[in-house]
Amino acid sequence: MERQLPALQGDENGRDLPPGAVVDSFEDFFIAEMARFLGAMTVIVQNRSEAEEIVQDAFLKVWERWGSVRGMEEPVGYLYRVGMNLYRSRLRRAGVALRHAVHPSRTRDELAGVEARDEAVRLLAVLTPREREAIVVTGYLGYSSDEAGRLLGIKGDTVRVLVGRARSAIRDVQGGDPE
Amino acid sequence: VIDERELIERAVRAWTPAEVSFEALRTRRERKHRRARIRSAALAIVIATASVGLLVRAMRTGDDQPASHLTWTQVDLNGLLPRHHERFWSATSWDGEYVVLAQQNVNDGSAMHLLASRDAVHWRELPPIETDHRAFAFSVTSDGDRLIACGFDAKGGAIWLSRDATSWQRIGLAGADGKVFGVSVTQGRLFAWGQTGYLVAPDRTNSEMALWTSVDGQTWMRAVSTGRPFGEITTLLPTPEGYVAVGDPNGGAHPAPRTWTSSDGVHWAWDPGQPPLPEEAVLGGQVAVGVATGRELLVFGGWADANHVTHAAIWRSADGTHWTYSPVEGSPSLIDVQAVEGGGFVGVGATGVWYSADGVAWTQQTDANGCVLGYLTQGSNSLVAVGIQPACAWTTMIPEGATR
Repeated sequence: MERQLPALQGDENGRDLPPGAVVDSFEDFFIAEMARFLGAMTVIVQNRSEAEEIVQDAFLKVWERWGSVRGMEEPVGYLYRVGMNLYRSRLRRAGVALRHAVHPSRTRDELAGVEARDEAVRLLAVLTPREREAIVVTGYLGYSSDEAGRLLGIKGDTVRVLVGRARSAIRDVQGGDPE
Repeated sequence: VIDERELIERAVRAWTPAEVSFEALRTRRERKHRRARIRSAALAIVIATASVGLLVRAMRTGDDQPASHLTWTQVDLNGLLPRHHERFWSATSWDGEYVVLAQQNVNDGSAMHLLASRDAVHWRELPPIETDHRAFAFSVTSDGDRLIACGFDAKGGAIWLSRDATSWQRIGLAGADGKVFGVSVTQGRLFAWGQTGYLVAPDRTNSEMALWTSVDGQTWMRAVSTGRPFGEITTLLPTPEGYVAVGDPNGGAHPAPRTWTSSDGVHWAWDPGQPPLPEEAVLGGQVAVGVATGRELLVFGGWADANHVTHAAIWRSADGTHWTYSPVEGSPSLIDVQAVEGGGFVGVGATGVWYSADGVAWTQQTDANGCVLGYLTQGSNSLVAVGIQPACAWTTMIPEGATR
């Protein structure tokens, strides 16, 4: 179920940036992209405050380079790539740190609370971070597998495999779920 | 059939992410820039992610020919650095050459550059330290035979050693999952300091500050502190009885200059005789750099009053245990200081190059065209100052009679 960049062609969230569009003002770019970017990163990260941190840091990095980013063919893709890199960097550090951690993290507590309220969150929580990245970038943001691969820094074929695994995992949970 | 778009949109609604306003982003950006400015002004040198690898040299200070009228010249580095926003992180003298370390953030990691020069005028690029793309070196120094760099890579905090500036040996430090911010050679013993872990969440960390030491550079052990754990160490100096480490025990939260002393470099004690702050220093004080002249120890830094106004300061000690405070004249905002052979001190910082005969009264020698200078290194007949914002280099010949 791949869509050809619908997210970049205008949608109900107020996005009006066609592919290749040059947005002069960083503020306009921020307003156009913030809500969707934050939503996507929250689902991927599974933690509100951490997603907010990543989103702000990613926007700041784009802002610092706005002189060159604004002229890029895909400034939105660049934003997501920066966000994914920041997320992975945090994930890697947290992974190292959590090996030594004694107490359960707040992330799990928060996730448990949200999971209890919504089945969609529970379904997505069973995926690995990479599977979640792949399915959000393709299924939610509408990138093709090859485009998602470029954005995530992996091969398009790998994206297809990850999306396939994600769908299978979700189906398995749905199949075993009495709801 | 799973409608992924609908599924994820439902999840987004369930998470109800908070709005991030453009104003909030602007505030965050201003805060980030303010932090950078404060760092440059030398009061916040000792923050976790940007330790400046301070150079400290124990040098004799004579009493003739003070280097009070040095003429500084900007070095043309065009063509040696790929990006204008690259910055130098450290500088040292090794094997008759000046060596400076530059580090550049790139999209998915970082790139490291080492430059070398015999005359401080003509520079060439050395091969980079071969490591993974996440490697970042904070500081480089020398024990005479070897170049010694410190930083981190994907495996954690590390030291890199080289005898030829071409091939490097990586040495991981036990317990250093984080970053090694600084390295020094003091009285023949090697020291490195940094973090043992990472930020687990925005408000939680499992990391602590640590000090490692080695005699040969190959085998390192973690130093032990009794009384109080190590804080963010800024400078490590020789004393008549051993060593003193000066830093901030609170990691910048409630900054204060504090000392740990050791007779063997391995076992350290939180020292009761702490560098004093004036009563007006209600927002604390921090250390930027220390210098050992052979006769006394001088630690430069500053403190902030209730109005957030910062004041430059100097603390002096003969033994590393008993310290006196005095205000600094001239507002030099020092980041690095060298005791110049022949007499006096040369300091660099946010406002160029400064000179002082006694460490207290400072006069500006050049404003370095607005470049924030972070490191000084002294060779056989020159001083080299390198910039941290942006990358730049300045050099001066040391007058005859004031050289080694």
